[in-house]
Amino acid sequence: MRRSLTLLATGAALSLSAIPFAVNAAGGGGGGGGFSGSPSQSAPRYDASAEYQKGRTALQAKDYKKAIKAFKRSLSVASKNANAQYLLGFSYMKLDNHKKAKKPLEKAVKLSPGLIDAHRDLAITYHKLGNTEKANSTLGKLTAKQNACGDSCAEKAQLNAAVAAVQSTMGGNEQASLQLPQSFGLVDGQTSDAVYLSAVSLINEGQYEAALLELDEAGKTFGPHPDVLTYIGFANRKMKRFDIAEEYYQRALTVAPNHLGAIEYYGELKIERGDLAGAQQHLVRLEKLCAFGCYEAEELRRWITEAQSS
Amino acid sequence: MDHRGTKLLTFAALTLAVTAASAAPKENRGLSALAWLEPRGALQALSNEPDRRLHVRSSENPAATDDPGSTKRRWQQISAGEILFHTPILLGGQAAKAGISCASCHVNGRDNAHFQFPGVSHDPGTADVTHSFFSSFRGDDHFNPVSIPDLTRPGKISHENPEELEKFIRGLIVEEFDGQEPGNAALTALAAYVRALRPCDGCSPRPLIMTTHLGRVKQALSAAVQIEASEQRLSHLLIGGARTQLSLIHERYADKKLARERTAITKLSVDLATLQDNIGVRSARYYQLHRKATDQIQALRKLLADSESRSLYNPERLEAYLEKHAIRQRPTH
Ligand code: HEC
Repeated sequence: MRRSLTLLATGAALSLSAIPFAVNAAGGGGGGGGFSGSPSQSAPRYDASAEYQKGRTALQAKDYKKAIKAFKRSLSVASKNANAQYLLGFSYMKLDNHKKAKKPLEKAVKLSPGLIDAHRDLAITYHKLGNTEKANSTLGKLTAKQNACGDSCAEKAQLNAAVAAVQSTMGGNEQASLQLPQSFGLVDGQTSDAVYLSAVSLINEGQYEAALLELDEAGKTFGPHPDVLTYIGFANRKMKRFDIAEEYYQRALTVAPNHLGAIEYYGELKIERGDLAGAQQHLVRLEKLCAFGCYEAEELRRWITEAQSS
Repeated sequence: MDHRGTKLLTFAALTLAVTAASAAPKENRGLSALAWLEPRGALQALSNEPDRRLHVRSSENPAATDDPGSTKRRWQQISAGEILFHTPILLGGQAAKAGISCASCHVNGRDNAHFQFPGVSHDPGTADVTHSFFSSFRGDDHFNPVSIPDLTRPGKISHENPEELEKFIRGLIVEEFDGQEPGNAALTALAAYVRALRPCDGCSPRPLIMTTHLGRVKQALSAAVQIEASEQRLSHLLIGGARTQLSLIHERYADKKLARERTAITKLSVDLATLQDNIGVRSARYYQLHRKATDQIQALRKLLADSESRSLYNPERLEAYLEKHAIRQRPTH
């Protein structure tokens, strides 16, 4: 058990905001939503996290067209990122283009049912498009969350505000101005680094649920960043949610096919699932990427050796 | 929580180089030591090393020194220990990922006035080795960097007491740095090296050149072959240490026109990976591979010597390189 905590310490203390993640300098590696063993495939065209952050900056500067372009680029690599889908929809709303806002907002709530802001804006969008039935059912989901939340849950204020905003719009009041939700809008890079790093510390302490909440927050600033995605995978793996873990490792490798940490951890997941041959492939890939050896390869090799001898 | 938050924030603002290193393939990542050298001392630290003096001490094991076989064994241990001392994968976690080894802090067993790792050091030459940055284990909540001691001088830890030094080093590796259990053979070797260190007053620093690193590659391979059959983990670490030294050479042969050199260096490292895979197989293949690697080192030495002036071992080129990369490598705060 201690070992697993140790693995994580290795990736701690990294700043996400200051440099955009460098999409593989050498060798490439394929995207396409899965682990790829072939270094000959081409790298993703865009840095999904950097484009996402560009989009956020443009949103704050009220340059919605630029924001849309950046979020689309980010999504062209990481289509399953709920935050990017949401902010794309939000940008269209700001341009009063509700027709185009609908799809990404629908995707956002589907990908991340907990995203309150996306539910709020989707309900408003349905209303603007004259789809009263869907507007009501989306509002219904929000009020159901509100009821389940009761008086004490952390999201109470946010839920109350969201329900009120939808009801007010449906009651005929024009929304004075649609604000970028606080969780997306006000956080600067440094604060988010602190959030991310504290998430990693929580993982080190074995507090995976709490860590996931903080990683979720960090994801709102950084979008589909491979380090964040890898740690979401790791925390889920430690909680034995192997399918979710795999999904996130794959997402990390989609945006960054050569991410050493994701390749290592995904290999370890395969061992935990009894797929030793699969893990071996990950080791081969790490050895290729680390011509002079690296700690990630050492660790995965140790896991494999231990699995073989047990 | 709040306290931790601010502490982590300092890391965050400063650890750019490490991020880049972990995200990108190891090729083309620049000079790894810049991650832990204060910018103003980088040129000095990358072009010179303090000279070293090693000595098999007679007072510590008087019976042994009469026996030439035992003295020889002792030198073998010291030699292996010196390589381990330069091997990042001996340490675990963040240190290993950044390429930090014992020698990053204790250059040739001494101190390092220019060591300054974000979040771990305060002033240059200091480090907090109980910091959670390196460890999920012994990390305390107080940021408490102290001067890195020169190990050739008497310090807190007795070198005479038969067990104390080994215990201390094991604690460093496993608890401070989150490394794997090094095993007795590795600990014995490291302790033998530390015990053999002597001050070298009046020695002038030696230039750090290609053969400094390539010499260690050779030293690592001989140390590994001497113990191959009996100590597989140590053997693996030693060859890993040789590969680290090759990476240090590789990053110095950075010029576009030195592609042939880089290819040859990489090739040797990849062959050494195969050698690592054959440890313990006890086949003739291991010795064949070992001999082949030794020959490769010879050929490599010639190839690299011919173009050393165009590499970053040339202080003028190094200086120009540092000027060009200074701002990108380490933002000023
Ligand atoms: C990050 C820098 C750093 C690294 C890496 C490091 N040390 Fe040290 N070392 C220190 C500092 C700082 C101290 C002083 C600690 C104290 O006084 O509490 C120290 C103390 C020591 C001492 C005790 C000196 C005395 O006072 O007697 C020994 C022996 C030692 N280190 C050996 C090693 C070995 C062997 C390694 C590798 C396994 C290593 N160190 C790696 C910074 C480092």
